[in-house]
Amino acid sequence: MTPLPIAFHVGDVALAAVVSEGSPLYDTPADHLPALLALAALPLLALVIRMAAPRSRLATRLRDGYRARPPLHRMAAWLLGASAVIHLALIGHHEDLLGALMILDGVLLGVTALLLLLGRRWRPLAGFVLVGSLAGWMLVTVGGRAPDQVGLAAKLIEIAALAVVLTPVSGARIRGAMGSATVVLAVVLTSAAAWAGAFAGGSAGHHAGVTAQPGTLLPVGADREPTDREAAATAVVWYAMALSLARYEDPAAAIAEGYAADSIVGLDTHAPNAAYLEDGRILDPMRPENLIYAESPAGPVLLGAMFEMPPGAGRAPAFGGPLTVWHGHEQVCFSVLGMTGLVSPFGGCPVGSVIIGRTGEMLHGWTAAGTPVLWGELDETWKAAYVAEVAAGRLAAAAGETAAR
Amino acid sequence: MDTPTDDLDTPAIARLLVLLQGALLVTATLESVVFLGVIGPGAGPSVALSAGAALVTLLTAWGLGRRSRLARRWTIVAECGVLALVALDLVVGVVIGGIELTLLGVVLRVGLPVAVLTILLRRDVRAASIPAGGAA
Repeated sequence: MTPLPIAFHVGDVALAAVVSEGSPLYDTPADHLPALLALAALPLLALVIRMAAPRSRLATRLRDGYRARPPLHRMAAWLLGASAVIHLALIGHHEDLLGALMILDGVLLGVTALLLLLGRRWRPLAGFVLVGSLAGWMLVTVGGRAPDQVGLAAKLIEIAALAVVLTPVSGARIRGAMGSATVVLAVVLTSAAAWAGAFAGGSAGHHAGVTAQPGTLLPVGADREPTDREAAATAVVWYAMALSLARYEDPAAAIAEGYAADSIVGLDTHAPNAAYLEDGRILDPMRPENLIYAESPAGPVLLGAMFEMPPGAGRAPAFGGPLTVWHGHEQVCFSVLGMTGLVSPFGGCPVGSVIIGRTGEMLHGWTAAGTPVLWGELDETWKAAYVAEVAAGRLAAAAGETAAR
Repeated sequence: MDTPTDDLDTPAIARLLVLLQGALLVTATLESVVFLGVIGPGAGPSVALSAGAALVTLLTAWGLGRRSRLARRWTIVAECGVLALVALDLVVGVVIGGIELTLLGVVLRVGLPVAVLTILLRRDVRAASIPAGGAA
C-alpha cells in the first residue's frame, strides 16, 4: 500500500484554535489569587503591628508576646495566621454553608493565633480548629469537589501547625512519636482525599468542555454536534486506519515495522513506534505512532491505534471536530523504566522519576469489530468482553483444528 | 503559658519541616504502590526508592530532634540532592518543552529544602548539634 499524503488527512481542515486544560488538582485558579495576595501581605500586617506597638496596648502585647514565644511557637503563629488569611480572603468564592464554614474557620484560626501571641492557653482550641478544618475539607473533597493548589496549600499549612500543637513542650518521647505519626497520617489522608476528589470531580471521557481527570488535558469550550464535513472526514480517516491496521493483527508484523509490541500486558498496551513519532507526518493512518493491543489467553488482540503529536508540536488537526477530540497528558512521572505514575497533589514524583509537564496531543482510534466508539475513550468493560470473546473464538478454532487432525 | 524548652527551639523547626518531608515521601510511596497496580512492574523500583527515602527522612527527622550532628549533616546533603533533582526536572522540561511545576511543587521542592538548609546552616544550630555518641 502506498502511504497516503498528509494533505489527504488534514487538507484545509483548520487546526483547533482552543487551549487544553487539565485537572484543577494541579491548577492555581485565578479566582483564588486573593488568597495568595493575602498570604503575601501577612508580613505587612506583622510590620504594622510592630510599628503600632508604641501607641497601641494590644499591638504592644502582641509584639512582646511574639518575642517571648519560643521559635517553634512563633512559627505556629505564622502558620495559623496564614491559614486564617487564606480562608478570609476567599469570602464570597464559595456558596452557602461551605462559605459560612470557611469564614468561621478563618476567624477561629485567627483567634487561635492571637491567643498564642497573648500567652493564653491556645493548644486545645488550635487542635480542635485544625482537625475540624482538615476533616471538613476532606469530606467536601471526597464528596466530589476537585481540590486545587491553593486549598491543598492551606491544608499543608494547617498540618504543619498541627505538628507544632502535637510537639510536646518538654521531652515526652512517646507523645512526640505519636504526634509525628499523626502528622504523617494527616498528610496521607489529605493526599488520598485530594486524589479521590480530583477523580470524582473529573470526567472519564474525552470530550471538549468537561473537567479533566488528573493527568489528562482536554480542550476547553462547549461540546457540540459535528458538521457533515467533519463526519465525512472522520469516516475517511477511520476506514483508512482500519485497512492499515489489519496487517498488524499479529504483533510480529508490528515489531518488524519498529513498534515496541514485544511485551503486551493488560487491556491497554500502547506499542509506540519511535521513528513514526519523529517522522513529521501527522495523522497518517498508514503510520500511526502507537498500536493498541490487549493481552488474552489466546495471544495479543489488536484493538486500535493512537495518533500522537511530538511533544511541543502544538495543536493537532481538528479534522472531526467533536468526533475526534484530541487529548494530552500533564504532570506525568517517568523513570528510565517508563511511566511511574502521576505527579502527587503536592507536586512531586516518586523518587527516581522526573516530571513530564505536558505531552504531545493524542487521539485513540478503535478498529475492534463492533466497537461502540470509533475515536476517543473506549469503555474498559467493553474491551474486556471483546477480548474474552476473541480469545474464546481463537481457542475454539484451535481446538477444532486439533480435533480435525 | 508554655515554657520555652529545647524541644521548641530553632532546630525543632528543622525537625518539623523534615518530618513533613518524610510524610510527603510516605505519601509518595503509597501513591507508587497504587500506580504499581495500575501501570505495572515498571513502577516497582519507584516504590522501593520512595519507601527507602521516606524511612531515611523520618529517621533523620528523629535524629534532628535529638540534635544529632550526623542527622544535621545528612539532611544538608539530602536537601542539596532534592534541589539538584528539581534542577534536573527543569532541564528535562526545557529539553521536552513542557515545564509545568505546580504551586506546591515549587513551595515543597524548592522553598522547603531552602528553609531547612537556612536553619541548619545557622551558626547557633550548628553549635547546638551533638556528635555521634554524645549525650542527647
